[in-house]
Amino acid sequence: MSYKKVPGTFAWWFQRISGSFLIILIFIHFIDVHFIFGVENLEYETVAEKWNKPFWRIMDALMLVFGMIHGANGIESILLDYKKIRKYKAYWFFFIRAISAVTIIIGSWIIVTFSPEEGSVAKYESPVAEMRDESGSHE
Amino acid sequence: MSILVNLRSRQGFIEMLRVFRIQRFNPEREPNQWVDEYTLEVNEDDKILDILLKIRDEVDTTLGFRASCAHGVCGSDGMMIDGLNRLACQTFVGDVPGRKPINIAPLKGVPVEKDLIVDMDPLLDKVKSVNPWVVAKEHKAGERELLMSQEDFEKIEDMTKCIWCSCCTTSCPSLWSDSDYLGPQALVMAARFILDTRNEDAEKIIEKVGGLDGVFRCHTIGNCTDACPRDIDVTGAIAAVKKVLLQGIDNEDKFSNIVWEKGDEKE
Amino acid sequence: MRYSIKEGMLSWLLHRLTGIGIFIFLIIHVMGAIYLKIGPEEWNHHVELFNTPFFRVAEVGLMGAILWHGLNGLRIIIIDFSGIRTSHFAKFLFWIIVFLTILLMLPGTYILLKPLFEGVAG
Repeated sequence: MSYKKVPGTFAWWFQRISGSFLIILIFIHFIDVHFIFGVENLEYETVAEKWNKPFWRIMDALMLVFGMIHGANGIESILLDYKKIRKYKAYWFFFIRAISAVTIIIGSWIIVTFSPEEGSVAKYESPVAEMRDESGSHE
Repeated sequence: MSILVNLRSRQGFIEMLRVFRIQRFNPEREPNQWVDEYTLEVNEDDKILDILLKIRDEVDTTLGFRASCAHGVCGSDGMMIDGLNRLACQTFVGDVPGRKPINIAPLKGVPVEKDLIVDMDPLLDKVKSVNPWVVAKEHKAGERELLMSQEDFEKIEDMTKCIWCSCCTTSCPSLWSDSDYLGPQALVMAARFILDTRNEDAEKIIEKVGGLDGVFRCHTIGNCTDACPRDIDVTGAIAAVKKVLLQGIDNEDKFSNIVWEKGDEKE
Repeated sequence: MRYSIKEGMLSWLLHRLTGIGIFIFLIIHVMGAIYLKIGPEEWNHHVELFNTPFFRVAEVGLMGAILWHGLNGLRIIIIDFSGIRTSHFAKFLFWIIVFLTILLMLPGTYILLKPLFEGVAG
């Protein structure tokens, strides 16, 4: 015999699971931005090349979804600590959840529908890249 | 650190002047709290309670505080000494290192009635509200007493040491922001009677501690464990409740090791 | 008179502040990615922001916040699930994660600020 699950238990458990998962995801994100691709060449081309592989798209989507839900869950937990805020719990929760939902929708929309415009990359030359080329030529 | 200091002072009676800053409140005199400073010649191994008694007897007879047994058993003299909740009868002057003034204030998060006396009723009502008692439905009066195994008792032994001083509950930041929060003391009591194998009504406790003001307002801060004068692992007890909520208790398994049933069969 | 802030309360306060900070950053970060849909030139213009000295230094702060939040989160999970008596163990873990945060910040800060120094040197 087992009793009915108490509300809040799932949120508490999910916070720990998603948190552990996010540590791994953010570590991979750090490695990919700073070692595999490099933060100084994050131009349109690089992103196109990165998201050519479905692996990176899935990675970024997972990080977005888990990060936003973990964040919203955490903020809700903070808000519940304050008795005065708790009176208007419904409005606050709607606000936080709406922001997270909009962010998740926009983010997934970008990740899913992104397809590089062909030809448009070549004609644009980044001033940063130019600067780097110049500095490179001096050395 | 403090032990060394106390040993040294016992060998050669070091008398010194220490400043005691005591937070005062008297609703008949002034609506706000104020701070009074008293300078006394004290030893490093004087108890704070002795100093409060000395101030009340010799310096300022209007000072109000609660104290009863003065041996750390009754739990009536919990107060905030140098920014930490502890019992005045178990804290020495030497526990506050250096020569800085010693701040003494009433417990936080509960209404103050006078000086260092706080209204304990809301705190005790919280403990009562989690049903901290054993319910044995099938046990009739006149039968043998209910027993539990040694291993089962060792799990809850730590939590049975509580002296109801409320030092833990009033040290919790969650209580300061939400006065309806059950608080560490009630949750330790809940853990003690949820894990008690004799209790058949653990579900009622679980329902109560699982609410909005219940166990999930605990953020594993650990002020309560630091404050507890009986060294109860308060945060660990609350973590045990969380684990129970997550896993659920298998009641059949839980009550299979009630010793008195087996004992009856043998006789 | 204030309650003194010890290890447990300090880690909790920092956990809360870094959590709110990272949440806000994540929203801004995702909104910034809208430039990818607007066009390559706009995106490249946006990305140049990441290479400004201010952003590099701010990113060190972001890394510190994420490291603290993550490590303290692990600390809380260990306290909750290990069942070890918390009184000394929680403080021990606090100093462990302080040490780990500083240890991981050193190479992390070097990696984050390296392009900045190269830019200055160049």
